[in-house]
Amino acid sequence: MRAATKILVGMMASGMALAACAGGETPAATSTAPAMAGGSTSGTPCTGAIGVMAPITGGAAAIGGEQLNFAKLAVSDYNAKNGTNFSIVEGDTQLDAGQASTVAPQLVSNQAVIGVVGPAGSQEVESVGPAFADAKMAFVSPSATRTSLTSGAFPTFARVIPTDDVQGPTDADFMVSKLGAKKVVIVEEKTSYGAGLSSAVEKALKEKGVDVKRIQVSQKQPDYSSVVALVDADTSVVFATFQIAANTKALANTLQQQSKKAVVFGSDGSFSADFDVPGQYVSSFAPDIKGIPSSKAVADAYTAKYGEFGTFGPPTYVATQVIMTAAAKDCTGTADRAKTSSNVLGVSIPDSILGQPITFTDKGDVKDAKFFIFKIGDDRKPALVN
Amino acid sequence: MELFVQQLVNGLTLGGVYALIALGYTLIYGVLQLLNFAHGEVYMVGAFTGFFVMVGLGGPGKPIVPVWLMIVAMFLAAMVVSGLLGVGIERFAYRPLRESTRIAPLISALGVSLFLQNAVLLLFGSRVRSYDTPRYWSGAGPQVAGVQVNPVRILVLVLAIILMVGLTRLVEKTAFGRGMRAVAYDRDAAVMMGIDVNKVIVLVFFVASALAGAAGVMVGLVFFNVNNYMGFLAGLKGFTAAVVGGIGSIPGAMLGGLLIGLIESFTTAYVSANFASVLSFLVLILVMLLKPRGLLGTRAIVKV
Amino acid sequence: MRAQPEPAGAALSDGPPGPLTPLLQLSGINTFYGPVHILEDVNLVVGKGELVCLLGGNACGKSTTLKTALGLVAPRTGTVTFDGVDVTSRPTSERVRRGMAVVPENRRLFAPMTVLENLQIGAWVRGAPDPADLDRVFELFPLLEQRSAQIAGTLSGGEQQMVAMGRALMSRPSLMLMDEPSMGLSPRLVEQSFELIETLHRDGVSMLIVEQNANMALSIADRGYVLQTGRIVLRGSAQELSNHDELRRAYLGR
Repeated sequence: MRAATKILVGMMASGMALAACAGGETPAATSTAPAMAGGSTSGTPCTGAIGVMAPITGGAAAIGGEQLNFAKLAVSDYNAKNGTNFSIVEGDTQLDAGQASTVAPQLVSNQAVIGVVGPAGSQEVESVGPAFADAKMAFVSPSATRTSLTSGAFPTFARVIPTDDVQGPTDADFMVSKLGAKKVVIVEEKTSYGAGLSSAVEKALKEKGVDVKRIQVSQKQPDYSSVVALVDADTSVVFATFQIAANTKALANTLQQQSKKAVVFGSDGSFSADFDVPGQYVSSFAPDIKGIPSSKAVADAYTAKYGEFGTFGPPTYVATQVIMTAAAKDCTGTADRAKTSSNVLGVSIPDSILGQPITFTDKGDVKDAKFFIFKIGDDRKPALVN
Repeated sequence: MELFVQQLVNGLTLGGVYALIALGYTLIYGVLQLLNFAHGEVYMVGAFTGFFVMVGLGGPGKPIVPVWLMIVAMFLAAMVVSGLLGVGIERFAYRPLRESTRIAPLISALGVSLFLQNAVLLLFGSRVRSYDTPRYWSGAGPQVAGVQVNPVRILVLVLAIILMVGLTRLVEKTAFGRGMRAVAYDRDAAVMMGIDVNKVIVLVFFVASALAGAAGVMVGLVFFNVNNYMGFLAGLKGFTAAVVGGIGSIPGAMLGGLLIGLIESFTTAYVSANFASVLSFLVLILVMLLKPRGLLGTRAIVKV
Repeated sequence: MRAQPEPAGAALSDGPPGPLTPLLQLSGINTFYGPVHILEDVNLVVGKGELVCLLGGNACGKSTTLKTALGLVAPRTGTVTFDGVDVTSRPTSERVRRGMAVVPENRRLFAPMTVLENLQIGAWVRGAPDPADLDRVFELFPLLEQRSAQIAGTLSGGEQQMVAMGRALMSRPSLMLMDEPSMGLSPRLVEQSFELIETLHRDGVSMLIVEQNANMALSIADRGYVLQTGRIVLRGSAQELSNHDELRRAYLGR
């Protein structure tokens, strides 16, 4: 019986350990990033911990892993360039608002944490906003696009990506004017990302007189054949608000298998090497950063260390830079949480790796954020078309 | 009508996959009276194995062997790897607990399940892998009742049927099958017949797990996406199918699998995708209330 | 000659009189179920070609003795020797392979399987059932041939007895162990059973029969032992035991 208990405990323990390990720390690679403003104002290197709230494990671990790794890269690049001593504290939220609301207080009570990158989901932002506001903790999301988040309710919140209000009309416009769509099916993922964006696109399409049908799927759904069976012959575009590009690819493949004529248009969550079906479309809040000369170094460094990436990583890099820049501005040895959060909206990154300058409105949105649309060519790589 | 036929094909394909997983549950329950909650992960490992074999052979873009050979290799590798994994799990997570309480191996199974999910995450990362079947196997399939049926689905369905028929023959007609049934019915009496019960259990685990591995490759070929959490939901559905059909009954597992697959397919099309899983589990509850032993579950024959 | 009562404390290796060689030998067996001392210093021999019976009342350890011989129960001290080989630490499957077969208490058939399948299972250690063995079983039990496709659990007690015996024969055992073959059978069936057992014995199968029905057992046995609360209290030839006063009063009702 003793041996049996030991085995049981060992099993559970190693299970837990691996779960923790899977999101564990690895030394970050460094790259030559564009010069950053800020360092320490005195001789001592500026020190502070940056919380990263992301779905590190769970069904969306593909996203969270990429976000975390880009954050790590940003920190090591910034430290190398500016002699600072920033570090990362992980906060695994599994993209769940409830879980996020338990992670936030942990980060708040950890005095070393002076700012947060994330959370990834709009629903999560809403659940942690008040706690971070109370604690004067700045939090910059790389992927929460729900427009209402910057209506003023969360004074310490900012984001480095455009909102649903920008992506929706941009995509809808393209579908109508360039693809001539009269009938569109929106396949919507049941997440806060999918819901908000789908509504924005639907509204924009309907305003242009397009017949829109919305179908909901769960992020964990393995089988799109039943969904595709509902797409009829005169639907020209299937708009997929997915966060996992491999799912978008599966959707496109299934459409092909059932000989449907509709082409797939993936929202920014699908921008990734995982969605590489020729003839399909995808939008992104940045051009392919591998195509931007000043961003190539970062892209190469990431690929060398961690492999392929999609759309969720590069904005996380920029969000982390924002926090560090805000923290280092008045830093005397140890960064200060309150000072960091009051500096965030004043941060300016003229040539961010996203290919556009980062400055903020007083509500926390990026000024003049644009959306880019790509078509996937026969070489299975996206090419800019707008 | 077209939608109906399409959904029928989808449902049968999905049903075949669930049936194979359910068979694994039922076989193991038969000989050990244990619900092997790690079975879903064995299926997941099979799916990954098939993927890596495919990539190793140049797929999905440039296979270095004929496609049919690549697919055969994927299946064989997955079945062997999954089979061995199952044998390992029995040896290290269940056998030491044989003399323990009924619940100890169940908890161990949950632990193994967690362990494998995260081990795969740690080893291979969180990125979803795609079998991307259309890249090496495109082409429209035959027409059935006015609907174009995808050939990959036909292969999967046929293979599932072959495996199920093979298993049934193994259990009903061979000496080993008799030994399996003897161990399942009365382990002590089986020992008295000179049966090495451990050997039988190991072989049952291998067979059950190999079936799950095959199911993993099938899912990859038909539904493309493979990730480390896919075993959780599939395992749950397979377990549901086995219980609905009557745990311990082989035809029951096949019927249960088919039923759950068809329910999911038709619900997604005619109601909503949201309800597909919900309905399957509702059916489980209904069957448990009305026929607790499952649809084909037999009344226990009293040992005389 | 009068039957010898077992001298207290003596651990004799018992042997049949005459030139028979021992097939099964239990020496100095002490078996415990937890703290309970079930078998105390048991010594027992079955010679080749012998039919030996083990008598005693309820819960005296008779079944445990059989199980010890088979390997289903491990003794704390003592040895089990079969056909000259020490099998004390060997698993049951090996002992069955070496030539033991058992007709368990209450038959223990595989109820959901057919009669034929039950017989086929009996041949497990031979690899595949030999048609010759099946023929022999059907010769002895013609009824089974008729009912070969019937589900075993639906047979009557007497029919199940036949299947159980046939099943044991399918492995061509050198030693058959029977645990209370008369249990649950009507007197007529009991007589029939024992006739069959005698037939098998004459065919050359050695036997160890555990029985409460001492009359029937002694009527076909060569030798016997009497077990009382885990100790052998009497041993001798069947004739001697039948004539023993105490035994007659206690077990034979005369």
